[in-house]
Amino acid sequence: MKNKLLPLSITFVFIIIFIIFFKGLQNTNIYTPETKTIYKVPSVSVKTIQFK
Amino acid sequence: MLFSVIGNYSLLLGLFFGLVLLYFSAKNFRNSQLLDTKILSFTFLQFFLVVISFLCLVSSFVVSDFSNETVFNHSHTTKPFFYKIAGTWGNHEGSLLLWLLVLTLFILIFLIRTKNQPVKYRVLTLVFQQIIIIGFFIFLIKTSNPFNHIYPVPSEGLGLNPILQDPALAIHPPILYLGYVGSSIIFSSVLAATTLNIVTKKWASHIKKWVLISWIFLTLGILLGSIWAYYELGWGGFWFWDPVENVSLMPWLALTTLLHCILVLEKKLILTSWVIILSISTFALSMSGTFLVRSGILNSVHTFANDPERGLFILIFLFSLIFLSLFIFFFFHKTSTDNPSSFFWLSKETAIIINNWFMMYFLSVVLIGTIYPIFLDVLSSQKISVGPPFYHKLIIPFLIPFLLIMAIGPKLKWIKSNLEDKIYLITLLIVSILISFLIVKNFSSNFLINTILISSAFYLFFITLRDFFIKGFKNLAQNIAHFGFSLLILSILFNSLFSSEIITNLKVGQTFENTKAKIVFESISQKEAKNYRSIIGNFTVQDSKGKIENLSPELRIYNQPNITTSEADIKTTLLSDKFIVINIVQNQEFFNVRYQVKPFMLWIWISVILISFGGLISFLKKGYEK
Repeated sequence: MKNKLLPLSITFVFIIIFIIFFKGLQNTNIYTPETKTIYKVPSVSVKTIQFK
Repeated sequence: MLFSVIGNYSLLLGLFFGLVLLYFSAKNFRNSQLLDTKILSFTFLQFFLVVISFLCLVSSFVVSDFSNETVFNHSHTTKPFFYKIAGTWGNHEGSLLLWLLVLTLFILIFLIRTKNQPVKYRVLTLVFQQIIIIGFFIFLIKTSNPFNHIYPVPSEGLGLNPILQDPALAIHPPILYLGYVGSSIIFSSVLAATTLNIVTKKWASHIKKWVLISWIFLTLGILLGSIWAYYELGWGGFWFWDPVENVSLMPWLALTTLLHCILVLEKKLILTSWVIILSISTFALSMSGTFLVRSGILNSVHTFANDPERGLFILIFLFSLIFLSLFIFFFFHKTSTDNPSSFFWLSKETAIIINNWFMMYFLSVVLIGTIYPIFLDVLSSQKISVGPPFYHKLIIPFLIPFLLIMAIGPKLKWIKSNLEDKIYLITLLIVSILISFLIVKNFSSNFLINTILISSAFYLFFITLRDFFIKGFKNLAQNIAHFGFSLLILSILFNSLFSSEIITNLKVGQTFENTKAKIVFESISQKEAKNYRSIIGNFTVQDSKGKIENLSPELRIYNQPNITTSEADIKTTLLSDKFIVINIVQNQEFFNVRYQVKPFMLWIWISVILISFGGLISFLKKGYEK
C-alpha cells in the first residue's frame, strides 16, 4: 500500500499541474513579465550641432 | 519554392524512417546479440534527411524566397547576409527544425560511440530517443511546418525582430540547444538503463561524458543569452530573473546536481534514484521551458507565436513523456539491497549530497517563482509578477553554507574522511572574513549578510587558488570549475555593491553633474546602414577622478519591421564597464540618458567561461567510455 501511495500521489500532482497549464493555455499571455517598451518612433529631423 | 518542396519531403521521409527505426529496434531488441546494421544506416539516413531539410530552410532564407511563409514572416531582402542565415533559427518553426537536427545528430553519435555497451541498452535508448524525435517530427509537420507556401508570392518579407539581429543571439540558440537536446540523450539513456536495471558504476562512467557535454553547452548558451541581454536590452543588467531566463537556469541546476550524483555513483553504488530522477527532470525541465516560451502562456522575446494548438501539443507530449518516465521509474527501478546506503558524516559523498539538496532548493525557488504567477492567475485571476527580491531573499542566505561546503567538500576523502590541514583551513577562513570586513565596512545596508557572503566566496576562492599551486593537475577540472564559481559569486557581489547609476533627461548641449560623474551631451549625428538608420548621441563622461571617456549610444530605427532599438555603448576595462544608453522621450527634444558604472562585469563572463572550461577538461579526460 505504502509503495503504491507515492507513485499515485506524484501522478496526481502532475495531473493537477497539467490541468492548470491546460487552463492557462485558454488565456494566452496571462502572465506578462516586464519587457522593454519598444516605441513607435515619431519622425524626427536631426541635424548635427557641434558645441565647443 | 524548390527548396521548400525538398525540405518538406525530407521531413516527411525523416518521420517515416523514425517509424521504421522503431520497428527494427523492436525486432532487434528481441532477436539479436548484435546491433542490426540497418539501425545504424537508418539513423544516419534520418539525420541526413533532417540536414537536407535544414539546409533547404537556410537556402530559402539566403535567397529570400518569400513563397515560404516562415521566410516571409522573418526575413527581408535588406537584412545582412549573416542575419539571413541566423534568421533560420530566429523563429519558432526554424528553431524547432534546429532542435530536431540536434536530436537526430546526438542519437547518431550515441550509437557510434557506444559500441562497448550492451546491445539491448543501445537499442532501447534509440527507441526512447525515437519517441522524442517522432513527437517533434509530428509537432513540426502538423503545427509548425517551416515549409508552408504563400500564394501569391509577396515581393518583400516582414523582417526579423531587430533585437534578434545580434551576433551573440545568432549563436546563442544553437549552443543552448546542444545543451537542452543533449539532455534528451541522458533521458533516453536513463530510461533504457532503468528498464534493464543497469544503473551501475559502469553506466555512470559511460553517461558522465554525455552529462558533461550537455552541461558545457548549456552553461555557454546561458552565458551568451546573458551577454546579449546586457548590451542589447538597455537596462544594464545581466540577469533579471525573467521566466525565460529561469527556464534555462532550471535544467542547468538539475544537470549540475546530476553531474555531482554521477561522480558519487561512479565510486559507490548509491544515489541511483537521484540519478534517474535528475536525468528525467533535466529533460522535462528543458521541455517545460519550450512549452512556457512557445505556448504563449507568457510573453517574451522568445514567444515567437501565441498559438494554443502548439502549446497544447507540447503540453500533451511533455506530460506523456513524464508519465512514461514515472511508470518506468516506479515499475522497473529496484534499489539494490546489497550495497550500504549509509554515509559517514564526514566524507566527500556526504558533502556532495548536502550541496545537492541546496541545489534542489535553489531549483525549487526558481520553479515556484516562475510558475506561481501562472497558477495564481488560473486559480484566482490575480495577476502578479515575481521579481528579483523574491529570488534574492530566498537564495542568497543559503549560498553561504553552499559555498563553504563547496570549499571543504573536495578536501574530504570518499567513504570516510578526516579533516586534514585544519590550521590552514582556519587561517584562510579568518583571512577571508578580514578581507570581506574591510571591503564591506563602508556599506551600512545588509552589512552582516554581505560580510558573511563575501567571506564564504573568498574562502572558496582562496582554497581553490591554493589547490592550483599545491595539487597541480590533480582534480584540475573540479578545481577550475569551483574556482570559476567563486569568482562568479564575488564578481556578482562586487558588481551589485559598487555599481552606480545616473538616469536623467538631457537635450543636446546640456550637462548633468553630480559627485560621481559629469555627463555632457555634446551632439547627435546620423548614420545610414543597409536595413536601419541610427541616431547617435555623442557624450563626454568625466568620472570623479577626472578621467574622460567619449561614449556614443545609438537609437536604431529599422526599416522592416519599423521599430526602434537602443544600442548601448559600453567601454569595458578589466575592472569595470562604463555603460550608456539613450531613449527617446516621446514628443520632446529630450533624450532619456542612463549611465552606469558596472564593476567586474568582464569577470562575470570570464568566470562562467572558466566554469565551462572545468567541464571541458573533465570531458577531455580519457577513460570514461573504454
